[in-house]
Amino acid sequence: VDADHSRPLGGGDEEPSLWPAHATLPTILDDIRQRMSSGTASVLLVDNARLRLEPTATVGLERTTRGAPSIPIGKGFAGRVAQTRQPVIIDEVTSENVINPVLLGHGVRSLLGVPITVGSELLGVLHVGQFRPNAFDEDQAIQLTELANELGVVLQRRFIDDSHVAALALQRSLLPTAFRLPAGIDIAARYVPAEGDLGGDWYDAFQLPDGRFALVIGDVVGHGLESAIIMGRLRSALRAYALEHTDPAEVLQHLDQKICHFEPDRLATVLLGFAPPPYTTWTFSSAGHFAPVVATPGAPPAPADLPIDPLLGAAPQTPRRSTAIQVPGGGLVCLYTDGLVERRPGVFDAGHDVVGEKIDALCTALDESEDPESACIRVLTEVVGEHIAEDDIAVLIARLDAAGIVDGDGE
Amino acid sequence: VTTFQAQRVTGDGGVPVISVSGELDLASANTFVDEVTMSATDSKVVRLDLGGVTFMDSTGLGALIKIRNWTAGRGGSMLLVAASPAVERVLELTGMSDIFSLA
Repeated sequence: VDADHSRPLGGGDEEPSLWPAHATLPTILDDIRQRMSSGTASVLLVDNARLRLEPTATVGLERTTRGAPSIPIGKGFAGRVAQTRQPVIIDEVTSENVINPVLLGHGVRSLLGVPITVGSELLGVLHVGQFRPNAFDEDQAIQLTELANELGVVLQRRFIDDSHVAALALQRSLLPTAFRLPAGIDIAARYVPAEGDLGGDWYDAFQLPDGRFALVIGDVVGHGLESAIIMGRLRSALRAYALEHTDPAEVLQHLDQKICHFEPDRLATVLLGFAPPPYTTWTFSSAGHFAPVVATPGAPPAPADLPIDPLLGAAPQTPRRSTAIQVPGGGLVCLYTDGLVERRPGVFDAGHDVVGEKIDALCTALDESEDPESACIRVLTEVVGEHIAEDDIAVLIARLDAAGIVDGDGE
Repeated sequence: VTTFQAQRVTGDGGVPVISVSGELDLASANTFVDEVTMSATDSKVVRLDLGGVTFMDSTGLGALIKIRNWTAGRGGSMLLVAASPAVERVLELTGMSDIFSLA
C-alpha cells in the first residue's frame, strides 16, 4: 500500500489528484488494484433505468468484461453492495453468493465491494478480488471506500462533461458554418456557447427549390443536451414547412402547433424571413424574437419595424403576421439571439435600458462593417466585449451584393 | 441581493393573490410553479402579483406559461394583477403582452 502522506484520500469536491485528468477507467482500476494489492478490480455502473448494474471495466482477469451480464440491483454480490450501500466482504466465493459467471470462472476466491456514491446519489459499485479465500478485512473496506469516493467525483465530472460534449457535437452538426449561397447574397454566422453550458440557440440559411432564400434564427428556452435536441427537431420541422408554405407566418403557425402538440411545456422564439431573388424584398415573421437589424447604405442601421407575435409553445391559436422589409443592394440584415443583448442587471444598471444600449451598440458595429465575416467579428467584440456570456449567442448576418441585380433563377 | 419569494396574501374582497418578488429565473422557476400549484388548489382562478419581480428571464416566462396551462387544465385561468417593468419588458419582447393581459 502506498504511503500517501501528502493528502487524505477522502473525496470532497476539490480537484481529484490521485489520477491524471484524462486517465482511462482501466488505468484508474489498475492503480486501485495496486493500492489494494488485489488480483482484480472492477467497476459496475447503475443503468439509466436505475434498476441494474452494468459491468463497465475490469482489470486482472484475462477475459474482458464484454461477456459479463448486467446484475439486478439487490441480486448477487455487486447487487447487494448497491442495495445496502455498505461494503460487502465475501470470504469464500460460491455460486450462492456470486452470480457473475466471469468471476466464478476465473478462480476469484474472495471479494470486497463498496458503493460509489456522490452525495446521496449512487453511481455504481467498485469491487476488488483475490485468488485466495479470506483476503479482505475492515481496514481494507475503509481504504476501498475512500478510493470509491474519489472515483465517484471523477466519474460524475465525466458524466457531466460527456453530456456537455454530446450537446456540443449535436449543436455543431446542426449549425452550418459554410452555406450554399446563390449569387447576390453573402452570409456569415457565429455561435458562442454560454460559459460552462450551452443552450438551444440555432440559425439556418438555405435556398428553396422555387428560388426563395430563407434566413432563420431561434432560441429554445432551457439549456443543455435536451434543449439542443429540441432545437434539432424544430430546425428540421421548419425546413419541411418552408418547402410547403411561402408565408413565414404560416410556417411559424405550423411550427407552433407542432411544438404545442409534440413538445408540450417547451418554448422557443423564432425569427424567419424569406426573399425571392434578388433578395431585396424580404418577408419576416417573428415568434417572440427580436426584429432583425437592417443596414441600408447611406443611413444608420436600425431594428426593422416588425410586430412581435407570441413565442412558440404558448398560444397556438394566436394569428401570426408577416411584414415586408426592404434591404437594398449593398445592405446588411442581422439576425441575433437575446444572449447578444440581454444581461442580468447589475448594481450599476439601475435606471439603464441595458438591452436598448446593447442594440444601439449592435447598430453602430454594423454601420462600420463591410463584409459579413468582419461584421460578425465586430459585433461580437464590440457588443459582447469582455463580460462573461451568461446565455449563449447566435448571430447571422447576410449582405446583399451592391449590384443588387441577379438573374431571376438565383444562379 | 433580491432572493425569490412567493407568498399567498389576501387581496381585495378576500380574493387570494400570490405575491411574487425577487428574481424569477432558472434558479427559482420550478419553486415558483410548485408554490403556486400547491397553494392555489382551492381556487380555479390564480391571481399573481408580479409587481416585486426584479428580473425575469425566459425560464421565468416558461414558469408563467406552465401555471397558465395548469389553471386552464383545471377549467380556470391565471390573471396578473400587477407586473413590474422587468416583467412587462419580457412580455413585450416575446409577444406575450396581449396573452397575459393585466387584470
